[in-house]
Amino acid sequence: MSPTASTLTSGVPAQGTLASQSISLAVLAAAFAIVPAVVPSAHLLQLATLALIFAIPAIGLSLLYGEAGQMSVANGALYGVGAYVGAIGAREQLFSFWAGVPCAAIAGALAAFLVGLTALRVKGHYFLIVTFAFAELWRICLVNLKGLTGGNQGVLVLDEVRVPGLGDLHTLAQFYYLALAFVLAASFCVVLLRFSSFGQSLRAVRENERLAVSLGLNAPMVRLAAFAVSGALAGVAGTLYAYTVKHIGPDLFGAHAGIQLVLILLIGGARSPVGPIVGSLIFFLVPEIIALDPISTQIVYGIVLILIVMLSPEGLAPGVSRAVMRYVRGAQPVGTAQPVGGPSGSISR
Amino acid sequence: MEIFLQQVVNGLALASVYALLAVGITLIFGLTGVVNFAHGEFLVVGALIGYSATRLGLPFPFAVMLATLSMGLAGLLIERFLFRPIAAEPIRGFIVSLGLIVALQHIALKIWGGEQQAIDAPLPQILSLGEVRISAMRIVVTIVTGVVLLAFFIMLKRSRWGQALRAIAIDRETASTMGVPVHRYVAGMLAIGTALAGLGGALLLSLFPMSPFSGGTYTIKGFAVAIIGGLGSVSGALIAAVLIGLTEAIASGYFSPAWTNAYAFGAMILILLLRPSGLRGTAA
Repeated sequence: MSPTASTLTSGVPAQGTLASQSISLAVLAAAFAIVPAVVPSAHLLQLATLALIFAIPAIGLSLLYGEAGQMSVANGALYGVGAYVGAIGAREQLFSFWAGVPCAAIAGALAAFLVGLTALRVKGHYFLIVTFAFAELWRICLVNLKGLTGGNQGVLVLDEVRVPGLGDLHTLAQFYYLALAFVLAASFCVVLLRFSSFGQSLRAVRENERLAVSLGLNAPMVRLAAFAVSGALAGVAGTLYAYTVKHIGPDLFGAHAGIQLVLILLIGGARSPVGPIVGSLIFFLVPEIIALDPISTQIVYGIVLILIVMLSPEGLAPGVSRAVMRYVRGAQPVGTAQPVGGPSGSISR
Repeated sequence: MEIFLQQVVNGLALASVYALLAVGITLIFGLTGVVNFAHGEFLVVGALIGYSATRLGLPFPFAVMLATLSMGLAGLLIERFLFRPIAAEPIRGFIVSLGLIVALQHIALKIWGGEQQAIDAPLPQILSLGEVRISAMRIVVTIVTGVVLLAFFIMLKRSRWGQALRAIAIDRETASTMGVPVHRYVAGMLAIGTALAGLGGALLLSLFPMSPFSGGTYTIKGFAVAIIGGLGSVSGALIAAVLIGLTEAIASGYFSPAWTNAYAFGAMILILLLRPSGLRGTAA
């Protein structure tokens, strides 16, 4: 972005610093690396792998929502774009996993760009509605274009993931580490973007769009770029999902998946690199641990989502950690624990 | 020509239900700024309540009333306990509506199961006009919604009550200082919006089967209609509902019905590109 833009936006800091966020990622990586050794059952390891994969589109959404302040319900469908690109590419023997990943990233970014383009002339709530419509339209296309997508049956992925030096991946632990590697790469990309001048532009657009525009930022394009990045990450995750689970179907990728991503983001918080990952793990593992049936789980998810928005809109984890900090510091005068912009600052527009 | 006339009649019945949905969506948005994606779920739950009521032996008109009133009550509760405390930030209302989708859909799934539920047509008669054969139920649905919407529209345009609502939509604070009890009006409007969705659902049940998963499609249809008409404009929503209902019915009569659901989205995207404020601007 232009120098004017960065001087303007130096007043809107991201949460933490590049170093602190990188360190928290490294700590997370170390903790996650030992999981396959200690996890009690194969089923839990499988859920943890799925949680890691689903954290990637959430990480992409955290850039769009946490920094640019723009929510989207389409990222579940963009995840589906990547999944179908990877799976159909494998079925038609067009490309392997490693070629499929960049193709899926490009497809996801392109799809996001085209969807976002429609919403460019209008903003805010129209963008939400367009993303919702796209998510449902995408699912209708998946069901109806049977020749290409297999309709309701979906697509089977028979190809293996070949890693140089290891050969084909077969064990659960191998897929877990593959997912972990992708999660860390995605998180690190987003951390770098968050502390780049691009990240500053995003925050400037979020905090005061008119001021940002008056100083030369092209606000719609900045937002569109963030959406495209989130689409690329969702696409990559989709291909990873297709190769890990070996079967994809249309119902996984409608508006419902998009809502689940919003929930994950609100559980973990959208402004730290570990937020989406922790959110995804809670989302996948807690119902399993307390042994709730799938329908009740969804009811609870819906209610939890509402409660978080009502009580702690910056996210469950950030809200809890702030409450703990406040309790620990108890004696301090009121107001010092408040961040710039107040507790509701995370949800603007 | 027969197919065409036949589909026009079918389309009007659909259009009237879309209009019920879109009017609720557009009013809730106009008054609170909340994009309420859970609106289609109220239609579905209303329909399923109507289904259970008919199954318990209640005559269809009473089942429709029950569905309408219970959804109206749900709207009151949701306004008071969910939307009002966060009224200052509509984006939070939007996320609340996402939570409502998930919760309502699965509560319905728990109570009614995942199958399509249908009732015997309350009016099985078929009227014949030459070659055109029309189900009496479709005519009743069209007339009932037409009367309800017309009455509502006249109240909105002519009564003091409607004037106050329009004042709130334009400037909430000023309306409040002029003595309009804003909270009560917004709550009442939200209840009417969800009640209209419940009414639409119960009426729709007499024409099509309904399952807990039908909500998303209707939400999108309602939003497409509301956007094409211009978010916040009731008359625009009515015009757009007729346009979309007829387009869908005629297109599915001549082309593949599998793509019916896509037409409304296509039209919506076209409108957003060509005329972002919709057919009828933004005023309520």
